[in-house]
Amino acid sequence: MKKRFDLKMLENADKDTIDALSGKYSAVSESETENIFQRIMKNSGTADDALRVNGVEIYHRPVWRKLLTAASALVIMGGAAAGGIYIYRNFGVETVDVPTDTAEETTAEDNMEEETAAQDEMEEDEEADFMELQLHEAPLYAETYEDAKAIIEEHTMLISWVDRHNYRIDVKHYAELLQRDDYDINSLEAKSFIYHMLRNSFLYFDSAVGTLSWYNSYEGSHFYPSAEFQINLQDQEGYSKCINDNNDVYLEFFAYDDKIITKENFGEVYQEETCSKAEMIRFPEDNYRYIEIAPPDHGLNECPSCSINCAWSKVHDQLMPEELSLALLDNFDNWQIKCISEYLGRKAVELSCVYNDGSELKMTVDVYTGIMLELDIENSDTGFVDKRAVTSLQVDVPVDRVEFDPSGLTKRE
Amino acid sequence: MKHSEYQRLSETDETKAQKTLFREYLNYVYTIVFNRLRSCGSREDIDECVIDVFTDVFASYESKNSKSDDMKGFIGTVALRKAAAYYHKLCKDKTVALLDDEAVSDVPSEEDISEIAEKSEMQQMLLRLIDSLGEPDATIIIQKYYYGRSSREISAMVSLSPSMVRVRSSRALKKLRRLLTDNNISI
Repeated sequence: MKKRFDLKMLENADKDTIDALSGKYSAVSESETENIFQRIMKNSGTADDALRVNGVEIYHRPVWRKLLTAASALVIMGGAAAGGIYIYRNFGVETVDVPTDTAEETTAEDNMEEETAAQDEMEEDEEADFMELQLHEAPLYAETYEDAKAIIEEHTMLISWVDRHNYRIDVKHYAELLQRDDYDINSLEAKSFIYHMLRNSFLYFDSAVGTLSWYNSYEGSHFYPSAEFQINLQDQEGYSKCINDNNDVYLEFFAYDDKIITKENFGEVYQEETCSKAEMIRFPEDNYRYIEIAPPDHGLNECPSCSINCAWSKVHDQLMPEELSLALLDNFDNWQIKCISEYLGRKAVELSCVYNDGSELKMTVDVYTGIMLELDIENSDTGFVDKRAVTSLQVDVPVDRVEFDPSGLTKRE
Repeated sequence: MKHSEYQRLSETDETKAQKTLFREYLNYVYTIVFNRLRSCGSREDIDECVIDVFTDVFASYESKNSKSDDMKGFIGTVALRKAAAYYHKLCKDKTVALLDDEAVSDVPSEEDISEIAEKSEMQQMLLRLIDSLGEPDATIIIQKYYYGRSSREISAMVSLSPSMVRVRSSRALKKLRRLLTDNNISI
């Protein structure tokens, strides 16, 4: 884990810095203020002459505080050792050498209280390394395209692609919640989590290797082509090959060096497009990626992963289903989480939805990456069918670049 | 508040006078004490030191042998000394010492002075860069990364939801990191 940012540099400041700090920023909250004043009042009635200003300091601190401080230190240090958690504040971490004490008994209850407080603080620190999950809200509305753009702009950061992991939410926490018996898997929080994962899957994996298949129909015949894919998301490189029912490789896609090359094996031709690697991406908050606009514009969608090169749109849609999920799931009233299940040995959620036109959707989503494992949309009235499924998957495994060889092929201009 | 005002007020209502003084100088005292004990004291230690400072200040003003009208200077001195004493008791293994510590008797060398001046300049620059983030981002950064407060606590200070505080804090931190790099400050 990266080192936590800390303004330690401001410690041991001179008078001017102290004046600037105290003049502008509150060091104490209102509730702490009252509490401290009450304790001073209590103190001043029994103040020892030795405590008066300019004298040699003698402190009277009850022994239980010393023990509690030590207990909290142990809890925090134990936690840090077990989980490798970076403890960012020094409060209570170091063994404190406390001067003269008066006798007061320590109770187990006191220790428990302090341990819980220390645990809370540790969890808070651990939690602080993640972004907060935004609960989903209905899209904002703007009168004009410019207004919509301005709203998105206000809530957009420019982030470095390679550092995008810093913008993850605490997936483990929500995945565990989803699996708890007493948790409502259709709560706003649960659905917001799944929707976030689908729209931000690019934050949660660096590479993927696998196969997928999909349904196709042509002049009354049905086909189930398949594809093998590998993408190195971190470097924005990829390769896919499409295989028909006769096991022929009929299409290949290569992405590297700012290019996407499509090779049509039957026609022995290839096509080359330029697609620059995105060093930085615009990263709007979840609730500010899509703004509805009055006609004729209808809506503005800012899609952070759309410019990312992974060679082929079908693989892109499966692994980074950002636009698909906006189209299919943005209205939370339409869909439900049916259950938590296993798919290809991975923890998944199954979603279902019936649209106004009678179309029925089933979707399976990988909980830890947001990859869309399975999509099935059917409309029995119109005969529309869209089926696609990942049939094998490994994430975050090493991927070797597959390079294109143009020998014997004609370039299509 | 001036000492003469405090005295006038305390003649009619001592508690009210103390509370007025306390409210006016608490932030200043807490800032001094926190600044000194941040690395090695617990919140409890800091609170106790602050309580001791005010206890001493009240006791001293009670004795009526006073005092210049510059209450801020007097209170600041009490706070600095008290914080230094706590520091030496709580953090005796630490080697860093400040010039205003009573325990430091040697006259500082020219090198020490230039080092201190440089550090002070860096601190001022850092505060200026944080200020330049504007509000509420500057407050969020200071409260989170200096005072160590949670998003929940900060949310009450800046009238934003905890989730908004977290989002803003992340954005502000990115911005601050860029500013620090541009100004060759490493943290």
